[in-house]
Amino acid sequence: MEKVLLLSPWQAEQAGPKALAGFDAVMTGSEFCQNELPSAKAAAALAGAAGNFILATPLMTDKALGGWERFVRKNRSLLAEVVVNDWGFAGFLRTQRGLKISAGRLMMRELALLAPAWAKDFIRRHNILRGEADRPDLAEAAKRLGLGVSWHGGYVFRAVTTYCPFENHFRAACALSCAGRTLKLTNRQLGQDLFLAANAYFSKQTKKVPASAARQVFRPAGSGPA
Amino acid sequence: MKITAGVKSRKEAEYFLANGADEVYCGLVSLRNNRLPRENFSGPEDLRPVLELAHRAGKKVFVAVNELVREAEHPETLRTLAALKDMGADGAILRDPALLTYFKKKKFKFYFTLSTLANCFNSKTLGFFAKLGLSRLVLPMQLMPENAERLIKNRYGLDTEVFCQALYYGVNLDSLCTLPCPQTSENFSKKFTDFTCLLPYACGKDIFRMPMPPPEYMFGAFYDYYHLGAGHAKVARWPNILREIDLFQKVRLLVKLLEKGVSRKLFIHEGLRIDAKPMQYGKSFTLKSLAG
Repeated sequence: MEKVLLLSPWQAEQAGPKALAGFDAVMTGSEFCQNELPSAKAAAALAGAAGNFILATPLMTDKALGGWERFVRKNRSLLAEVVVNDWGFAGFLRTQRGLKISAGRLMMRELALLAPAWAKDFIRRHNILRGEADRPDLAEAAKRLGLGVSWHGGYVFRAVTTYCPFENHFRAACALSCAGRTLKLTNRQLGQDLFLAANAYFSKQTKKVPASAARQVFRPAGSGPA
Repeated sequence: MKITAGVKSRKEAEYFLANGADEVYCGLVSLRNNRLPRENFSGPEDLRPVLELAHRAGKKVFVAVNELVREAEHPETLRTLAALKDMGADGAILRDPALLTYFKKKKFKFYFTLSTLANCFNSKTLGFFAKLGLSRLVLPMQLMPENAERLIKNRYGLDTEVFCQALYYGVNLDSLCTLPCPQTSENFSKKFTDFTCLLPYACGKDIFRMPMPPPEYMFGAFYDYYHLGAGHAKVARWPNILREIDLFQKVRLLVKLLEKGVSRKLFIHEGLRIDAKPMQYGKSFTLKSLAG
């Protein structure tokens, strides 16, 4: 099974070749926060060290969209794959001929429920080859739609906000105050802890890697969910 | 700015239409939408008196199909919406691109509004949906005017509708949230009488609450939306009708202030006088409806 290391852009800045040992690819960016665009320098270093560089992308506003598009255009040669969650950004990626795409965890939540014929047509037209999954039903949906299953162990996505919980604003620019921080949140009513990383809430992964998984996404030891 | 109010019954429609709503919208049990069955009309015939009432007053009625719809249900959804259109319904609120594609293929034209649940945060996403035949866009509740100009002044000529976020704000993106919530499940509502996103969480030695923007900011956002050209203010369907009526009356006052041309500073000041603690909406989710 292919192994991918998922790093936040902040971790990507600091990751040396040693951290990437044993992985087939490295993924950075964010599926949830539009402000977590990696630097070109980190992207080049990671691509050089890991061989395969995967960019994770979130839902985004017009103000953020331009930056993500520029990043893809400028670093096109470095990119082995892009994980997409935004319908509009998927349209942009379609113009980048030959670029391999994976449907992100948010987009998979939609594709899993949409009419299969429409979803398969969308997947074909956008060169989507994989689906990111953190729940068995999403892994099953990815398989059903003919996508390779990319399994996220560790944590399950639960909710996302656009109002930065660390800096209290909606801006498409920030001071990265969330860097390296994961908040463990406990309320007895909920029955399980939540973990806040960047602008998204997660719970601990309790499901085993599905048999259909062709790739597994790992976080660095002791690291939070996003 | 026109006001659109969600309704669960004929009596609620009568109330809102008689008290200043320009439009009402509702769900039908047979059409997938993001409310529980008990918050929907039983079928098209149940809706007929509302259509007659609204049209006598020169007002409009929309139907919500604002969830993803199974492929097998597409034909029946089309038949129901076509029947409603024939009865005089003015349009439908959707979020499903596959369903919109199906309608386009079947040459079914209607006034389609893209639901807030579609999470349309940028103009490229709007382009993706607009080509499927939209007439209006409801902006995501978590999108602020500072990021919405290109959506409001869009090149497709679509109307835009906004929530009065100062009075009603979803902490997380609704359609992607899997936290237990009274909005989404009968079972959970027994355990969770309130939104779990409003609960206090222990975080180390501190108490953590999922953050919301301050009311001053949100009143300013509503002011900015109006001045950017958003044409409709939405008062969402709310299980507790007393709470919805309260929200509706406050939105009416705010819209009147905007139409008077007050300054942004005065608008925020008056907004805070109208509702000093606008975000404390939590405990109002228990079902209380005007039946009939």
